[in-house]
Amino acid sequence: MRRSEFKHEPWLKMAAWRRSLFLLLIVVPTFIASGYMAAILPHKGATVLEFLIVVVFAALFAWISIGFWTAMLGFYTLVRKVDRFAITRAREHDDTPLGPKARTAILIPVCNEDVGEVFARIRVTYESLKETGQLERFAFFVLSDSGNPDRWVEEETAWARLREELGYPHIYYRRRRVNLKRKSGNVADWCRRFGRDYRYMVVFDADSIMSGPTLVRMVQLMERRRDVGILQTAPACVNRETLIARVQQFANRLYGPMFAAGLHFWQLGDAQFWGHNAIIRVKPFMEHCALPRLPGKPPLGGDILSHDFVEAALIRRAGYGVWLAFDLDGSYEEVPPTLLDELKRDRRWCQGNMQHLRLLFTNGLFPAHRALFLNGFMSYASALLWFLFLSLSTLEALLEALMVPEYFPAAERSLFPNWPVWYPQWAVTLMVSTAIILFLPKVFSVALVYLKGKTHEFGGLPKLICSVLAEVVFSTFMAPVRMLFHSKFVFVTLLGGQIGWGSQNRSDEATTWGDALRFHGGGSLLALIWGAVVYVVNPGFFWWLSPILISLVVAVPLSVWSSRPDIGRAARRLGLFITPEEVERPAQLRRLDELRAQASADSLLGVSGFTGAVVDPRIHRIHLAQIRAPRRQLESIAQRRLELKERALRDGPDALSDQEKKELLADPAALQALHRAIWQLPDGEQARRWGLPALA
Amino acid sequence: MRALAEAASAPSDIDLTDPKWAAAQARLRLYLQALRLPASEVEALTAAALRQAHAARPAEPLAAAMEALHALLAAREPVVANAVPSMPEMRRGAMVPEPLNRSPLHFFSRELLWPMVVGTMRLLTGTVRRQRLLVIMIAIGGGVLFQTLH
Repeated sequence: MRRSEFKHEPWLKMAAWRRSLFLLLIVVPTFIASGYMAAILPHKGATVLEFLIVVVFAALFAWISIGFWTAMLGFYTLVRKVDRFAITRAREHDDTPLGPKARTAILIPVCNEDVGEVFARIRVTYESLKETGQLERFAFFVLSDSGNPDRWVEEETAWARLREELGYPHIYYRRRRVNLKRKSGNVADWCRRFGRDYRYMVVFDADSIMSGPTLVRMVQLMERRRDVGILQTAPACVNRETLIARVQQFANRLYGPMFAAGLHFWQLGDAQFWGHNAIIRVKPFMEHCALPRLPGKPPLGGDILSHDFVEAALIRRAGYGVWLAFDLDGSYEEVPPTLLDELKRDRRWCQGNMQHLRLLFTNGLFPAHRALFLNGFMSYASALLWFLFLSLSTLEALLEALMVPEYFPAAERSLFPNWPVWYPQWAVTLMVSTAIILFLPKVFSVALVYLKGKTHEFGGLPKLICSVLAEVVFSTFMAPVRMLFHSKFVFVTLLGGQIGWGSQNRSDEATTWGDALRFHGGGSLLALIWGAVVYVVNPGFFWWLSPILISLVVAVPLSVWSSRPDIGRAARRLGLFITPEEVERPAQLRRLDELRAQASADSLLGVSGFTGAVVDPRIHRIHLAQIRAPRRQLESIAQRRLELKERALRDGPDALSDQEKKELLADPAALQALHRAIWQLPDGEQARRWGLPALA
Repeated sequence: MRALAEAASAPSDIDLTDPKWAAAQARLRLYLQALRLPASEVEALTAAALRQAHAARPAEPLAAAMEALHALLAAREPVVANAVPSMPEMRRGAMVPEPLNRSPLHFFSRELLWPMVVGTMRLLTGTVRRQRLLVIMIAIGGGVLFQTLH
């Protein structure tokens, strides 16, 4: 099934009109503002430096205009209440049972995550699905790429326990031995092994929760619209308590719906896939979305890291639509708890998005997806451009202050002087226009909430306004810090620097002063030197730069304080950054809270992880059932494992490296031998090392 | 199970005041409790394992008793619920990357220029309305060019 089958869908013509309008709204103001910018500069953009400043300004202005007009179009869509192309209009919610062929797999790829949290979320989703009465159409697959031996065993134990407690056989667990292509490889592996049994798959992140009715509705929509390949929800950010995360949650819940509606307005069936909280039609995904390796070495070659955008482009290339269900509730995720965690994640995304540039000219892709690749790249490149803009502007200001103007250049032979003029009032006008573009969407978001009578969901109108003002101040302080890091990421990636792909921190742990100093100290020093030089040479320009420089100087305390849950909770007590989920907690989140409070140990011996798999007979048996004995084993390997077993028995688990633990865990014979030997140890130090209690 | 029931009676001939046999009994109980077996089964299996071990008159009662217990448990698998393979049966399917032509030259020639040529040809050979549109576009383009040159 290639492009032709769905090429006369009615939305295609509307998409062309909407995108033309969108493009016009961006291009025209950008031209006007850039002309204005050139006029502000002393030489009217006539020097090379000023020309560069204008070009960079134009790119940045176009970039922020995309956000602005997306928000405005979203406002228009939500105020109208009706969008005839909204994907949810394909079928109203009903209780009609799903057909037997609409089998849906819920995939939960994990990699060294907090096991208790992951399985609690699965349980919440399971229970919510059960209440819909359509549970039997769904199966859960926990797909693990965990390299930590303790996590590996904990996941198996948690899986067995969940299955036992729920009595539902269609909860599965699989751990890959070789983590090829990370998350996308994990999902592709599942597709190859089990995909033929399912019509749809819903991909979760480790921190995702979706309500049963939402999942059922998504399957119903996919059943109704055969042209849809991926249906993405707009997840609400929830559950975090640190200050920065609460600000992000607030921004997501207040501004997010408007932006999502705006994205829908101009993207329609060419929407983005964000990699999780989305339903995918398995067959075309298997046929068209396998990801190749990019030629060359990482960071720009090798495995495609940010796979979601590429998969969306490929499934669209195959003729299927990718839609954003912007008005579908019941989809949740969590944001990184601290600025440093957010930046670590951004570094991964940055590298992934930069790889997309290499796919820009791939044959057969739709222009909208090429634009989305570019848009993803600009998410980070814009930071570098901003940094470049500030640097060039500083250079211009320094040159103007240090160099004697040449009023009558020899080459021009003019009677009139070449008089460099600076009009601060024009600069103020331009700055105000830029500020309007940046902040007006926030005002419109408040207006939208007010018009829809939902201010109580944000703590009431006065608190909502105070929260928006506080969020503006907070994001103004944070923006330069993020800009500096993103610039560095782009720069390092272009220079060939690589990144790790570890698991995310999903707990509310505050950043230490030491960590903050290590990460932000350099930026603060740069800002101090930058500010001092500008202040000495051109004090007038210093004040223009000061908001950015001050943010960078205070980055260390900002990073630490914003990562503290107690400050986040204090803000909540003051009524700041309240979100609808905090005012009235959805049933699924309430249930998650209950499950967190009920967490209990899996082993009566009090051992877990690797030690549990070796010592605890129950965990040992669960683990053995999951691993396969090697078909053949070289004599040398068998001998090494025997020695490893002897050393483990003698010195205890702490003497083994993670690699050695994994080797033992993967070898049923060695593991069984160690298990038996430990239980035959006489009472004493050796037995205690393995967690065996003393015999009375 | 019948053998197990017969063996469940207290092993009277074993001297449980002997620290070695007492340790073996305690270790067996611990093992079975960790398996979360019911108390009655814990006692029955402990007694059976002790009896079997004692019959061999071992020098190390603990090791012998544990070996005996493993043998007993092997006969009554599965001991633990859900100690079973965690995945359903595989149904292999293919998922092979399609070749991607990423050549900018190909893109500009085939996906940019060629559609423009085709579009223009359609306009030239199309309906009157389309031809008018083409004339208007040429006029606008010419105007912009004229303005730029002067």
